[in-house]
Amino acid sequence: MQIRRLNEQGIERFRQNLHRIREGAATALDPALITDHNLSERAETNVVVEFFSFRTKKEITKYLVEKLNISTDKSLYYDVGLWSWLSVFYFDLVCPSVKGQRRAKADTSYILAEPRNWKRYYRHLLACPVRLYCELGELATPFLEAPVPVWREFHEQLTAYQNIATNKSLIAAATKLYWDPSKNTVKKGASSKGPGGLRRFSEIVGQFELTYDINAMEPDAIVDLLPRPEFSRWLS
Amino acid sequence: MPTLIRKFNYTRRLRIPRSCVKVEEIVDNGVKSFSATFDFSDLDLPGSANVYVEPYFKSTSMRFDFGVVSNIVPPASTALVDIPPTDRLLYRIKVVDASSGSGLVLGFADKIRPETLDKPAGRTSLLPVDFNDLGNRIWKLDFREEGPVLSVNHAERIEQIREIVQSPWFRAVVYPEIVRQIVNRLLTDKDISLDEPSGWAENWLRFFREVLLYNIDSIPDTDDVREVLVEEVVDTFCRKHELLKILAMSYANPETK
Repeated sequence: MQIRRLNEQGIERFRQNLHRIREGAATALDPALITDHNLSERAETNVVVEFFSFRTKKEITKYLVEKLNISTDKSLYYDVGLWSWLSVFYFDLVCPSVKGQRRAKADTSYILAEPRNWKRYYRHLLACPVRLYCELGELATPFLEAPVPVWREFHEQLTAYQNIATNKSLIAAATKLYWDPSKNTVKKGASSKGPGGLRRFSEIVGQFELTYDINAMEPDAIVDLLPRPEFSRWLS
Repeated sequence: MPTLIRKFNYTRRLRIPRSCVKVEEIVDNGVKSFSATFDFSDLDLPGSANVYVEPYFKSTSMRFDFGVVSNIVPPASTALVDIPPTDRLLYRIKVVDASSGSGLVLGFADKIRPETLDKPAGRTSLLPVDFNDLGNRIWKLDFREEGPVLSVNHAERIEQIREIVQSPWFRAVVYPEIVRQIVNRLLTDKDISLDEPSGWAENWLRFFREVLLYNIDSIPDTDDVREVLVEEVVDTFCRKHELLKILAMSYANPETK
């Protein structure tokens, strides 16, 4: 299918469809959202996308990065119509039907609202992983090793703040602490609200920023700054 | 009783005076970029330290490498493509120790405004207006670090939005709600002292006292009393500025709407 972008009318129709799904009045999107010329237009690029059953965010992210060649055209990060149309096209992945029911999240998970406002951007289930992958490369792995619609506390804590989410050194430090590469998953208890957890990590990093330029630091130097014994358990 | 706040600066980070930094914004073909010039000659900063400029708006920021103290080299592009369109961008300047790789901040300046937005000396706007992306909303009152800002949707499809904001009709309808929110904030924000107000709180309390002749000097004990006080201030504001009359006139003479 040749890639398209939703227009204003299409986005409004998508929003209404999501509302109806949440109300239980519908279980699927109006198929017209994909191809109706009144609701979407062909993107200038001749990119063709196909529907595959991508198991993880990483699989679909790599596919889209390659297809859209986004590394060379970062203006695509902010293409509201494009990302909203992709959410429609991959709706069965971003909002899967389980036993005939869909649990639609907030509109911002599917419709790219206020694209230059990170606080909204990071919630988009396709645009945000793609952007993180483009900015961080393989360092983005902890964000991406999960099924497409899954949004865990771990993701929330690390992506809610742009200064953390797109900072390679910080993400490498967080990965060193909280990611278990042997199991390809977040270490147990990392997302807890207790001492040494991710919340504390975000908090303490905020305090460091008054004294250190985190962007200029090596990941190990960041880890070394974390107070002991609070963070010791994650280093073992 | 006044509280004594002690601030520690163990790393002896220098506060870079605003007079040492000049930021100017340029808009070309709808894309905003900036230029920055520095005068570090009177500051005790090593020539090898890195200089970074970080424009930011709320939680969104960008970072530009400007070389080192002894050899400032602006980046090839300073296009502000990753930041929401806004008239009220702030800039942070960091001078960072490059020798040890420790990332230690040696000099720092924050909340730098571009020259084009600076008001004449001694004057500050009580309620700055900022045009930015508000999705489907027309306006909202933002409480930012600098104080309350009237955020208005820059929506390109409403070409006359800047005129609309200036119109008597808009002011009559929107400003009472703004006053309500500001008074509410003054009475509920635990960080604001009515005894020793500072910053935006001081300016607004002075406005209420000197222009509306309404002195807010204590926090009501109950929510009910607070609501009554808020309503009184809003009502006084409307009366003082004859908003009902302005609205009626703007309808009688649609050109002023």
